[in-house]
Amino acid sequence: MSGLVDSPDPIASSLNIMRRLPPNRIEQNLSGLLNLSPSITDELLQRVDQPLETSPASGRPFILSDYNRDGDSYRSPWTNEYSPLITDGFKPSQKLRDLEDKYVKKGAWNSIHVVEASPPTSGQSTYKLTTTIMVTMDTTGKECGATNLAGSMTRQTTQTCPVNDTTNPHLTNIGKMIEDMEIEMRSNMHGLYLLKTSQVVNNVRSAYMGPKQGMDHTKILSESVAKHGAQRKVDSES
Amino acid sequence: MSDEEYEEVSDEEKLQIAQHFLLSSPPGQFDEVLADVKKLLPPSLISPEMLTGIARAYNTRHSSLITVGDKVMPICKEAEIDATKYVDSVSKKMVKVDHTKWSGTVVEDKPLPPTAFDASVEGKRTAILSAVEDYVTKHFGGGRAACGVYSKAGKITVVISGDKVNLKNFWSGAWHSTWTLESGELSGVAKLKAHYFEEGNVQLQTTKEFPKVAIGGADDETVGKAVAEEIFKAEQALQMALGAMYINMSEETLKSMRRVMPITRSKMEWNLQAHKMVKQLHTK
Repeated sequence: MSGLVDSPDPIASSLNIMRRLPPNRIEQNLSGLLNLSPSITDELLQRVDQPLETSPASGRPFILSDYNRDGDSYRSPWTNEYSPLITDGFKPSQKLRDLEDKYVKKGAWNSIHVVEASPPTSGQSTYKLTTTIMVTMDTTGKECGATNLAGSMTRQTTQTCPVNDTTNPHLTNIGKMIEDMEIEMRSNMHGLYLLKTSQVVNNVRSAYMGPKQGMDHTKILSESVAKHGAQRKVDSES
Repeated sequence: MSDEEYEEVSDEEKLQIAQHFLLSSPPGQFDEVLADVKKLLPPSLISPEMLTGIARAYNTRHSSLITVGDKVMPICKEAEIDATKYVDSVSKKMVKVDHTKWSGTVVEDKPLPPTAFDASVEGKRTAILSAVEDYVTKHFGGGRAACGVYSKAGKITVVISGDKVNLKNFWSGAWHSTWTLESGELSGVAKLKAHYFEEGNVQLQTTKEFPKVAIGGADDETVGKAVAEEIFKAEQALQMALGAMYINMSEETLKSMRRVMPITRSKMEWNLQAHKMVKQLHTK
């Protein structure tokens, strides 16, 4: 999961490219990829989450995503109707629709949660949750110049829990799962991901004096060049 | 849905997209992006000449470091003699550059053109070079780094470039800056990129312009030291400001977007919530 994939598969190549291009340009990068390989449009749209847009149409705003899209129309979770109106669009089953009605969606923090729930067997359901979070921050302070810090990450988890209509309905099980996932990913995004870029900068330029005085400049350079070459070789073979 | 439903774009448009992707490659990952982009393009759509052109544009834009023997030197407009020949401002030799391999070889049998440097400021140029090299050694020791100092019509340009690429551990970063000394005033711009992509994709991009500051000095050596000192002060302040931004980010920016815990400091009571909602629905 963590390694980039080396294969002629256009989906794999597209996902690799998405992992390398600036995450504050997800929509543009994705649209470029779709123009290069139109045949993988549907699968790529399902595999790459984009920052959410909300419906500009009149009525109660709702989130536009690939999960309520049919062609160029989006289904409102409030009215269950598509906008622009289509009559043959996909509609969820009544059971799923009831659940959707009760669920409150979040739009401020760009989180996308997709849950697959198996029909209960012997009082238990298995839930597969895929969560993507996207953050982008622009700072134009005097000191930092124009800075953008952006990131996206996706995690998956599977859980089997008892399910019943009274104490453990789907909503409770899914709600807890999503909440735990978001708390963990929120702290990972900050504690690990965003701060890592700070470490990378500090690895390139040190605010403190180094290397040891008197060490031969050329020697240091050639050593790091050699090391760099060695690393690249390993990487391209892995 | 079948393929026919999507409109095919022209080869020309595909090349533009490919070029845009390549020019957006994170530090040290041009080849990696290229490998994947090629798999999405019709075979041999990117000609070797075209690729060299894109790599040259990338290298010029990012002041990429190229390896010459056991040293590195930055690629930049100021060092360019023609598309493949560049001035090594340290050895004062001509270097033939292969843009797609990030390497070059010294052209031994041909001297630099007489116009390569402005002779009237040569003393100042070498004094600046020596002082800035010292700064680069002290502060860019973690990865590869080099500087170049060029002159034309009395204007002196300093180019500093440093990078560190560790793709095995899913990260790379680069810092490059260009400074010009003209009519006793120094101004510059620094650009930073950091990328971390282990099971995700996070990037920092910074562009900081430094306003003009007067540089004085009785002799070339004093001017050289003053230039290096101003560059150090400005770039040091930028790095400190970024450090402060990261602290501020955790305390304010992120929290305003999404708290770790709700304001009540306890997790949602999903069951209670569910019951409440069910009740509301039933009373509608």
